Amino acid sequence: MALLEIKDLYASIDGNEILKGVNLKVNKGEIHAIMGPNGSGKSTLASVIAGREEYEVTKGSVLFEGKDLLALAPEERAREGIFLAFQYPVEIPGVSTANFIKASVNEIRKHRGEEPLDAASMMRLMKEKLALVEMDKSFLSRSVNEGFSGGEKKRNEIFQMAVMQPKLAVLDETDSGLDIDALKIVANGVNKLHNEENAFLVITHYQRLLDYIVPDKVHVLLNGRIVKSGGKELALDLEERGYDWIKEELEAGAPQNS
Amino acid sequence: MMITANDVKSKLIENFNVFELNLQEDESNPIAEIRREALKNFEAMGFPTRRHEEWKYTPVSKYLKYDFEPRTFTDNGFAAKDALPDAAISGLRANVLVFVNGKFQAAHSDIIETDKFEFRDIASAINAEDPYLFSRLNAVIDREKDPFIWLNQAYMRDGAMIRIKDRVKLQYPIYLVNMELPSKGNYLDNVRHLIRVGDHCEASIITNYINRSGEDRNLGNYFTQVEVGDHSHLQFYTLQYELGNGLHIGNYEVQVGKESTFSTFFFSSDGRLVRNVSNIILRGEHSEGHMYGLYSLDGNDHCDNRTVIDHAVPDCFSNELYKGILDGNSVGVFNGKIMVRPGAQKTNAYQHNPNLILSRGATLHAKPQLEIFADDVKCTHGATSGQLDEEHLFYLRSRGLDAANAKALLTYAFAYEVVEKVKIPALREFLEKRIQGKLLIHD
Repeated sequence: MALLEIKDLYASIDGNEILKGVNLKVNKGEIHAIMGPNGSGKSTLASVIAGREEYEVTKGSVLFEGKDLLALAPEERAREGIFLAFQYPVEIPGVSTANFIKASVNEIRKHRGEEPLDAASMMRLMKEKLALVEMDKSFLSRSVNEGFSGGEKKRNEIFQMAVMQPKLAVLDETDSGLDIDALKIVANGVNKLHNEENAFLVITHYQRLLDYIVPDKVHVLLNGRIVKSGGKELALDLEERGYDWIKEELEAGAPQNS
Repeated sequence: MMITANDVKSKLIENFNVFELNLQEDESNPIAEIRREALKNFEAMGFPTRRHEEWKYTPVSKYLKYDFEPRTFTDNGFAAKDALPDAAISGLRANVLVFVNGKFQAAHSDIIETDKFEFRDIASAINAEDPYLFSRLNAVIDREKDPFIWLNQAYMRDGAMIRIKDRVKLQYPIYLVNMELPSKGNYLDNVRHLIRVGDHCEASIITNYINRSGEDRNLGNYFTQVEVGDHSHLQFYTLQYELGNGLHIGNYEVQVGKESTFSTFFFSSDGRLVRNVSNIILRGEHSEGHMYGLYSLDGNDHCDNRTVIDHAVPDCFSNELYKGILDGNSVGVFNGKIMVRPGAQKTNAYQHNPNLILSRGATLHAKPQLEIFADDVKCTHGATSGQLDEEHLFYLRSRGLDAANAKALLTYAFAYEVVEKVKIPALREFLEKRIQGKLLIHD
């Protein structure tokens, strides 16, 4: 059974249809990259998977470990093991990162029927994961994302992901606005967390991130549909040639899988 | 028969003699004259109606439908051990002064720093014809404005007179507990607090109002006069978490001397009718006024906060941040006035009043006012109201927090901006817990 199986998914926001029949299957242990030009529906796909309520699914299904994901509230999806790294992480003044993560981890543990972590174990877990994204302990006492630089916010997303240990992580343009050093840190975090039991869906505009996170599969999302899928070399093709050749191929009726 | 505000007024005036007799003050005491003059003024003004601009959104007459009687007994059923824990602030060491039903309770009070300030209860000060007391009673600045000030002056029964000597730094806050307990019947308690902070002083004062009205209503009418000398710092905290069904009117008149800082904090989260009127006058150059408020209302709470910061002289600074959280069918009123007198050049005055509206039934009336009579000043103000940000809620939910918890956490974050300004650690923790408790945040 696939970890994530999206079938013929249509979704709209404010009456505008953005996704127009997406099909995608992600197995445990795999890293998939979704690429596409602006406005192709990449972030919408991430939002629908995570459960953002402004998006209306008009057709199709999303199964997560065989369960109907679309029937679940965002928090239930998180507890089932889905994590979305935000393109624009939110600042929450007055709530310390440590308290926020504690609340989050314990909600997930509760869902799994586990006891809440005691303070010492929680601290150990957080320190260990901080090291992974090369963040200082002082981050924990700062308010969530408040006054963080763009790079710090993205690293904080990866840090949260590391602590929550999701089965499926969706990275929504995590590379945007990162300098090369921050990009390496983020990629390194993902690579260390990646194992045979989890999967990643990396949404990106640029091939750059894929130099550091090597995908098993690359999909091209165009006008709300996945129009081409291939191996990691497809990303390099896109970097070199842009998207126009795919559009031309489509118009010429060429096969969609290389 | 339905009782109206006019009936309440007539009865108060009619029964003044009985009240005076019960107090047993000496006939030759100058207080008699002061009370009678105040009564006359109260009679002339009467209770405010909606036609009074200052009371437009707080229809006080709606609440004056009980046969309020000024209380002259303490309480027949007062048991300190039952009621006092309500005023406990964990970890707070303070000079504690307790008032129950408007009357000082020596047995429950405890002054640690006896050598650093003078305390006298107002009732004793009246009987001793204390000159300082009378100088203050005769120097009410805002006397034309509010009939409740006159009502207080006519019917004041007791209160705290606190004088902090020059060059004193209080190590512990002064904690004024004002408790109103239910008696059979509807009572009016008029309490006067007088505070004088000398020159080169540092002190903090916490006032906590607790009203245990049940079916019978209590109306607490408080008037607090504060004088801050030169080169001094005073923090003044007001807690209104336990007002329940009670009605509460608080007038505050503050004068700040040169190069001094006065900071006020109002935390209001309860009460059928609460009205706080702060009139702060910066009358010495290079003085500062900081005004913080957090009203977090629910159910049928009605809370009206009015502040006037009066820049009477040049080179002063004021900053105001009042935040509101309104749920249920609550009503919040904010009126903040910045007054810059002629010649008060180089004034810097800022005011901000953001509000979070959590329900359809809640109502907010916000009115910032600037009255500026000098040309070289910097003044800004802003009032906003809005709901919780959906994007913020989604962020928290995507991390596994349910909708109710996410909402609570964000509301807490909104409130925290005010709470973090509190400088007394035990008080700050108390407030954090109160706010978290109300919002049901899981620990």
